[in-house]
Parts: sequence; C-alpha cells; structure tokens
Amino acid sequence: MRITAPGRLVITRESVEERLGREWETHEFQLAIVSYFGHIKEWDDDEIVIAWDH
Amino acid sequence: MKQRYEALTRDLDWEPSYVAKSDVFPHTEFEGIKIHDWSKWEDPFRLTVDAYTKYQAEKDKRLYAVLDGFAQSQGHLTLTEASYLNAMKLFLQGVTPLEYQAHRNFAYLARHLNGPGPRFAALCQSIDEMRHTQTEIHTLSNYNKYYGGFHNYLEQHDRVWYLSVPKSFFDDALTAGPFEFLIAIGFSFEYLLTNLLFVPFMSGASFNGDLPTMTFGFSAQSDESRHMTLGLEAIKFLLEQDEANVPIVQAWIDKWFWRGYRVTALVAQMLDYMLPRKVMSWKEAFELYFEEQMLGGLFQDLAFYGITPPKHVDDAIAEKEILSHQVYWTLYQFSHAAAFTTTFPDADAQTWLAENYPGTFDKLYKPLWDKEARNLENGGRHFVRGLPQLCQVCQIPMLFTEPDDPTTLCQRESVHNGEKFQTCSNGCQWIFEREPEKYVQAWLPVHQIYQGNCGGPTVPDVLAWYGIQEGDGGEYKGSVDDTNWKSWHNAADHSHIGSEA
Ligand SMILES: [Fe+2]
Ligand SMILES: [Fe+2]
Ligand SMILES: [Zn+2]
Repeated sequence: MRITAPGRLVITRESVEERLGREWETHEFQLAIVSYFGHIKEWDDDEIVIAWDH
Repeated sequence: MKQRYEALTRDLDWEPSYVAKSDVFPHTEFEGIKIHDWSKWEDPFRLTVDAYTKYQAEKDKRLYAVLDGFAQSQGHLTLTEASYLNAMKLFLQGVTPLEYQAHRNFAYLARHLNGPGPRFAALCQSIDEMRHTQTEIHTLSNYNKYYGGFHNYLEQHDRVWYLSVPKSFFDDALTAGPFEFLIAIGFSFEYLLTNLLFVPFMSGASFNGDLPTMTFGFSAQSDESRHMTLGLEAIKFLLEQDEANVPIVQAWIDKWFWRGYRVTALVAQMLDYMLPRKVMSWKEAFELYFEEQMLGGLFQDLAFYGITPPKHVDDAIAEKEILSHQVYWTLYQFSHAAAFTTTFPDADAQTWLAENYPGTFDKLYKPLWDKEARNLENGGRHFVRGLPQLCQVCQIPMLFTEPDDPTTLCQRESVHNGEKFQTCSNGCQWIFEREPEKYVQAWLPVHQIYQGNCGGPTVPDVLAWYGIQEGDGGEYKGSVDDTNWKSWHNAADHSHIGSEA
C-alpha cells in the first residue's frame, strides 16, 4: 500500500487508535513503514508529521 | 517523549573540563566544515535506548518466525524459478558486506561526532546495520543448502571483478572524513538512492515467491526511515551551520550521486533481466524513485540553501533506456567468471523488454540477442575469453556509451604524473580529476590479475582464487541449479500423483 499527499502528511495517534481499536504508540509506526519519501519533521507522542521545510 | 529523549540522550553528555574539546573530537575540522552549534542538530525520531531495543526485538521476532516457517515447509521450491536466486546471490555478495562496513563507520561516527544527538542516532544506525548484515546472512543461508553461488560471498566481495564495484564504492566513503561519509552514505546512498536500490530487490523477492527476503527487506527498510532521516538532517544541519559549507557539500553531492548511481547499474540489469517474474522496468523505477521523488521533491527543498541537482544528473537521465541492456549484455558474456548465472532472454522476456523500452530495445539490443540466438542454434553460447578494461573510478568494465550516441563507446582519458588513466563517463572522469591521488591507488581486479596477484595466469587459476566452484557461474540452462530444480519438481509432481492414487 502506498500513501501520498501533496506537501504534508500527518499521522495522529488518535486516528490510528480509533481504527485499530487499541492503544498505539507513535514509535510503533516504525514496524509498519517499509519505505518513505519526504522529510520527517515532527515525531512525538501524538503525531508524526512528514513535510518539507521549504 | 521529548523529555525522555532529552534526559536519556542529550542530558547524558558533558563538557570536558581537563582536556580540550578538539582533543576529544579530533576529526571534525580537517574537512573544512564549520559547525558553530551542535545542539541545533534535530533528531525527529527522539528515540531512546529502551524504545529502540523494544521495537528492534519485535522486528527480529517477526522475521525469524517467517524464516523458520519457510525452511520447514521447503519454501524454496515455491520460488518462480531457481534462476531468480541470481538476484539474491548478487545481493549477498555485493550488498551484505556493505551493511557491515556501514556498521563499522557509523560506530566511528557514534564516537567522533561532537554532538550527543547525532552520536546517538549514529549509534542506533550502527547497530541497525549489524542487524541487517546478520539477518541477510541468516535469510540467504537457507538457500545456500540447495543452490550454488552463496557459499563464499565474503571472500568474493574482496576479490571478484564485478564485486569490486560496490566494494570500492564503499571503501571510497570509508576513507573519507566523517562529514563526507555522512553525505556519501547517510545522504546520497541512504536518502537519494535508497529506494532505487532496495525497493527493486524487495519487490522482486515478493513477486518471485521469496517470502524470507521480502520480510528481511521490509524489516531492514523499516530502519531505513531512520537512516534516511539521519542523512537528511545531516545535510540540512551542515547547510544551516555556515554558508561556507554549501560549496563543500555541493561538491560531495556531485561526487556521491554519480558514485552511487554507477553502483545501481547492477540493480538496473537485475530488474530487467534477472527476475523471472518482472516487477517494473529500470526506467520506471528510475523515473519514480529518482526523477519524481528526488529531483521533483528533495532538490526543490534543498534549493532554499542554494543546492542544485547533482552535476552529471543529465547523463544519468539520458541513459535510463539503455543502461540495463548494456550492463546485462556484458554480464551475460562474462558470467563464466562470476558467482551467478545468466541466460538468453526468451521470447516473453524480449517482448516485455520491447514494450518497456520502445525507443531502444528493438533497435539497439534485439539485434545482439538475434545474433546470439544463431550462436545458440549452432551450439555456441558465447563467453568473452579476454579481460575487460575497467573504469578507474567505478570499476565497471568500460561498456557505457557516449551520452548522445548509444552506438559509440565512451572512454575518457586523464593523465596524472605522466601516467594514463581511463574512466567510463564524464561523471567518473570528473571524480578522478578532482582527487587523482586517491583513485590512482584503486585495486582494479583486471590489473591485479595481470600483475599476478590473483591466483595465477589462467582463468581456472583465477576462478579457484575467487572460490568459484562448478555450478556457481556460467550459463543457467543446464547448470547445477537448473538440473536440481527440474529434478526436485519432477519428484514433487510424482509424489503428488502418488498420494492421490
Ligand atoms: Fe542497512
Ligand atoms: Fe541503512
Ligand atoms: Zn566509471
């Protein structure tokens, strides 16, 4: 599965937990990602933001 | 997460009081890079040791469960064909040893970078690269029980002619300073070219029934998101720290793009010729993973700092429809001296090639295969018995053509201290002339054979020194792998009929 978004892609803990029906740490994202392209701008407890700076 | 990261990573650092900082970190000045504030290095992952080990252990557990299942169920028999494994032989011989070298150099960076943030990121990557080495060896060792070409990859990496291409590439990076290494491997290899290099191998595995390789690939690639981030943070950090760093970094991008791109020539032929079930063409992969993602995305972002796309990028784009054909045609003729086999692309394969390369295959390369088809009819599958001249920089045989003319071989000559040196392209010549003192020292396998350093003067002498045994190389049809594959499948068919009766 490949996901693309123009300019900015945000993964929030809340929305993943809602879909999974269980608790989910953003670090777990590392187990699911096989390749990415872009710039990981933010990675904290609540969200992962992939976006270019400029 | 932020506080934990600060406490467990940055707060564990201290200021030396009775030794000078430059004595503690003696390697971060000689390259001319200026760093004013190491604390400005961002690590968006905010990974701590406990989180790191927890998730890495989980990744390993998943992988080894797949490996066990595959081995127990004789999964190797469900591959598309034994010839698929040529791609994996190339991977084990050419790429796995690089993982180990990456492990070594990131361990060095984990000691020698001044800032605690980048040191910890380098430490994690160093451990990751060791894990990649180990998981790749474990995964492919299962095939070593049944197929040729897997048994002597470490020694071959140091000795065999086509493996000097990836080896010399990485040695070039290992012998650079810490910042050049970061741009060479962290940025150019791990960010710029990583999807182009690894995704084709992993997709090839998944398309050809190789579940273990697909799983180790995905497992390794999941670490790669951190490695890509480290590479990107490294370049942004250097560019933001001092304007004087910009031209130094630009020259490294120019050099390392071309160095890395030349290594991907092996991936190009693998995608277009080695996979029994094709995934995508090299041209398509190059357009998506390089032209669209890197030129269309990354370099737009880096333009902010005054960084421009790599110097010889137009030459790379210009050869995207000819590269794989030229490389495979050469490997086809030299595989008697390789630890993988090659074979004539059958009618289906040629139709696929013509469809994917409408502008070049029928016109330029089909005539070569037609000629070879006539050789085969007359019982004369041909191998080249001589030795090729190698490019002084990338060490690939001089098989490339002029950027604007696919029918004329490209050969660039430079003179250094009265001696002549040959390179394969404008890119390699530019790299040579920038640092001739470095590249005149290249260990060129063909020169070494002629100098008597490779086991002896005859082909069998050299192959014995390479540790290449009967069944490792040559023509696939009728090879040991091909014969075994057929007999295992016939046996399997019979037992199936038997059990039904
Ligand atoms: Fe790796
Ligand atoms: Fe890596
Ligand atoms: Zn070259």
